[in-house]
Parts: sequence; C-alpha cells; structure tokens
Amino acid sequence: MNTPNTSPSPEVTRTYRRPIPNTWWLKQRSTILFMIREWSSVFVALYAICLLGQLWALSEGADRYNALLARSLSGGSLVLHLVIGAFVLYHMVTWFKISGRIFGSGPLSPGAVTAINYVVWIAASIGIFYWIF
Amino acid sequence: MGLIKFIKSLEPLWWSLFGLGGAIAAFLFPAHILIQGVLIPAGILPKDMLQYENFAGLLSSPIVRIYFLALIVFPLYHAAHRIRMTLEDLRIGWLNAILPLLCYGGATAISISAVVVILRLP
Repeated sequence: MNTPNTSPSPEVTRTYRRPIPNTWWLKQRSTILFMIREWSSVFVALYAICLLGQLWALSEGADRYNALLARSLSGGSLVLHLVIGAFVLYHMVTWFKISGRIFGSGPLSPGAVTAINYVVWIAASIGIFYWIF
Repeated sequence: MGLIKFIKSLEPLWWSLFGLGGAIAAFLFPAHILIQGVLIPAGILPKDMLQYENFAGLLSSPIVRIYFLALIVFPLYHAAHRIRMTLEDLRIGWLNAILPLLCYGGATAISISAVVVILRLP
C-alpha cells in the first residue's frame, strides 16, 4: 500500500484501476437525462438524413420526388417525425439552458440568455414559415 | 494509427462544428419538423408547398441551396461529435480506437454526398 501523499508507480496505478461497468449511467436520474440528451443527437442526424433524402429525390426528378412525397404524407412518417421532433425539442431545451450557463454573466443572467435564445428561436421559426414555405 | 491521431488532433475543429451544428439543430430543426413532418401530413397545412414544382422552384435559389446544405452538414458533425463522446463514455474497448474515424468519417461522407445531391438539383 502507498502512504498518503505518495504518488503511486505506474504499475500500481494499472493494478488498482477500478473497472466501471458501461451501465454506470443507469444509477442516477441526472445521468439518465444526460444520456437522453446525448442520444438526442442520433435523431438530429436522422432528420438531417431525411432532409438529404428529400433533396436526393428532388434531384432524381418528378417521379421519384412524388413517390417520396406520397410516403412522407403517410401516418407512419407522421409518427416518425413526432418521435424525431420530441428528441429535437429535448436537444433544443437543453441547448438553450446550457447556452445560458456558458454565456450568462454580468447584467445578462443565465436565465436572460436562455430567454433570448427562445425569442430568437420563435423569430427564426416564424421566418422559416414565411420565407421557405 | 497515424490517421486516428491526426483526426484527434483536429479537436478544436470538431468542437466548432459541434457547436454550430447544435445551434442550427436547436434553432431551425423544430420548425422544419413541425411544418414538413407534422402539420402537412396531418392535413393542417396544405401540401401545395411541398409539390415538386414548388419545392424545385424554391431550391432553384443558390441561397436556399446553401441554407439546406448548412441545415444538413453542420448538424451531422454535431451528432458525430456527441455520438463519439457518448460511446467513449460507455467504454466499449474495441470500438473506442476507431470511433473518431467512424463518426467524423461518416459525417464527412454524408456531407460530400449532400454537396453532390445539391449540385445535381434541377
């Protein structure tokens, strides 16, 4: 055994390396929420790929695009988008909260920065509706 | 494993792309998902705006093309970085060694195909 304040030799460090099971995150609510936040990125990627698929169909011509459009108007597609949407909203909420923590200082409290993010988000969403669509 | 080392050395680049992609996904994705994926299929908004002629017309503008490219590419790198970090936290030994190549390589491959698709648009 090493006495306190004595740094262990590399060999001892290797010997006493504590194994951590890869289910460590299931033990606390905060780490479960952390994992959900992290895995929301899979749904972010999935939606980016959906957008790419839509553009690919468009590049292939009217027939291919109309076939994809018919499928994207189905109930299954609606459910898929609701699931993706739920995870993307969770990403958004956590992203705005973290922005507040990172950038909030001085007269701008973390809460104020998060609130500004929401205002910009609402403005951007309205902008997308009128500009793109 | 020189390539993996090189990819890891680009950490500031991956962080920047992660941040930009995360912001784009947070600010812009919800509206697109709601309009294109929910309100139009549910019949609340007319599907005219997604008809071939209208959508192709919209995508004929270079600015809209760049917008859609950014909408696809940056969130992919955001996801790649987060998936890499999360899988590293899960400590799957054999996977950790190739994770940077797998994640950023995947995002780069899909991004290149996005550029090709956008260049081929009518």
